[in-house]
Amino acid sequence: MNAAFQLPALSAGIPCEFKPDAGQDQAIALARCLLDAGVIQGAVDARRARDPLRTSRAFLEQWVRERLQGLHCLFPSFRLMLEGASSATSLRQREPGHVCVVWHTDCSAFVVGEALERLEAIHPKLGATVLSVIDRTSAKLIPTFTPWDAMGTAQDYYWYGEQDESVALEEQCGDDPNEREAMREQMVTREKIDAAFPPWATQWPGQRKRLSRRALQAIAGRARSRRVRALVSDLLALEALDLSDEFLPDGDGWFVGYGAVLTWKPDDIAVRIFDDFANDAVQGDYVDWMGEFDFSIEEPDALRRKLGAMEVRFAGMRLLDGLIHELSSGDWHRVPKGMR
Amino acid sequence: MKPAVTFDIVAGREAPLRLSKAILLYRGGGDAAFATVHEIGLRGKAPLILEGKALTPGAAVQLALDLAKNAKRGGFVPECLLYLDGDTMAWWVPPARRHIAFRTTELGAPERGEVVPHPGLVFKVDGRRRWHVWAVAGAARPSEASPLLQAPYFNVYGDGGICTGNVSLPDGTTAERIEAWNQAFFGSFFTHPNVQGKLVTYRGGAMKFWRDMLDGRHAEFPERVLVSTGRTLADVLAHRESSA
Repeated sequence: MNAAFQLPALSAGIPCEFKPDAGQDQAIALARCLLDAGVIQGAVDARRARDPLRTSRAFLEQWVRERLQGLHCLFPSFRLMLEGASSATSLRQREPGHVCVVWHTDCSAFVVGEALERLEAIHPKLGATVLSVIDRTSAKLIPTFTPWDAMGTAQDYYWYGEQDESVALEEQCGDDPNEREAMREQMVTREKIDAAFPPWATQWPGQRKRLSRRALQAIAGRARSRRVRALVSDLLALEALDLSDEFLPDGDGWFVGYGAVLTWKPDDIAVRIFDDFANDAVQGDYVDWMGEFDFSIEEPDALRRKLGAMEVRFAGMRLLDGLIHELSSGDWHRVPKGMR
Repeated sequence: MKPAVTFDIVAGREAPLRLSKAILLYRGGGDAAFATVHEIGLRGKAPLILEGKALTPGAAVQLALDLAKNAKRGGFVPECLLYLDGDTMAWWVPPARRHIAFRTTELGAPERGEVVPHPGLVFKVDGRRRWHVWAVAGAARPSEASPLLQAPYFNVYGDGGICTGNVSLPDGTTAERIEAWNQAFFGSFFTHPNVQGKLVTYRGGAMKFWRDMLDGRHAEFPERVLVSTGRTLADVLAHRESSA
């Protein structure tokens, strides 16, 4: 090749990549904070210690995996955002010197209709009680899109806040009966939701009739089915957790950080409602993480307290994961009724 | 394969920097200048300069801002802020009683700390985190003509440079980071004098001075002990690259 047309090569001494000194202080301070907070434990060999970020990541992952062992279907991913990290999310601005931990999970659909209806058949209001506990606790653990959320989202998102689609049809189609009918055919209607779920499933959890704790304890102890006894025991444990609002996500925009969509049958209308809403929400500001906290890397005691407060969340995540896994797997028709 | 719980760290300025572009600068007579910006390719592991395009003034300004992450374009100015130029900042800390801690057996214990009076101080830091401190007399906000005095602390060099050792320094040299820098200074252990000459003019020397201070022998900071540097605030800020 003619040398005149060759592209100029840089000297071999010019590196293609380097680690800036300026930011290493923060990486070292983070590792130091994790060490003082008890996340980094035991000896770290010299080669690993030279890369404080990688070491911090490895120990954080080990720390969280120890606490979330044996998950079946909900797998949260945690992310620590160092100061100055560019964020693709609408996370709020942090105080200088603070880093932020957020967690999220891919969203999957789980068919729970058969199990919940069987539980209702085994003991009246037991299915409703299980759903109520999921409705009440999941937002602070792994947010779960339940039939109640499907109804609420349909009202807010399709029906202009109304109980059904009448006003939306009037707004969009006027008096043209043909156009109304065509649109009703295509859209999510009240009739379609009512057909997809039993009435108690889409009811506001506060109004839903449910079993007392004492009745649940009796079922946990004396139900004929071992599977029902185990499920209700976990339900009682989940409900008994003291979950504060401390780690709720704090961002601008629509919340889409759900980890699970509960459907009654495979691919029922709940999936469509969730997909329509989520796809629209992400066109603007949205919150796609399910929990967060921040801490100053100069205050390991504060981090230790936060991590301590997370323990109850981890216990709740394990219980919720087990509950949704149990409801969505196996043959519930064969589960026997009655008490021992 | 079953998915697993993961934990990632998203780095800010700790992330590795990768060679991404090259700028070729052409200079002519007077102030004539032209620059082209080029993508970088690789032949094997060797970087190549690919064809480029003219570097626009807007892109040049953006690049300058990227290179000086700490330089802010504007904002409210606190009273203690004395000087700001790009990523260089100087600020004043009025005389006050503050905690100070020493780690040296010569002060009566392996570690010793007390709340004691301090003189007025001027700090200066730049984007490369070169950090200096001087003392100033009186309680009034210093001006550019104010004489600078040797800061009477251990771990401060004769030119005002602070020996930071293993102190974790704050990130950023913007006005809102002033308190973090103050905390980094007063929150660290002072271990040994770093000046070649006199740190303070005090009978018995610097160790005796700080022992007396820690023992509460001076209700107010005795400004008479401060040693002149022969320089003013303007001197150290006007020649910020060449001197301090």
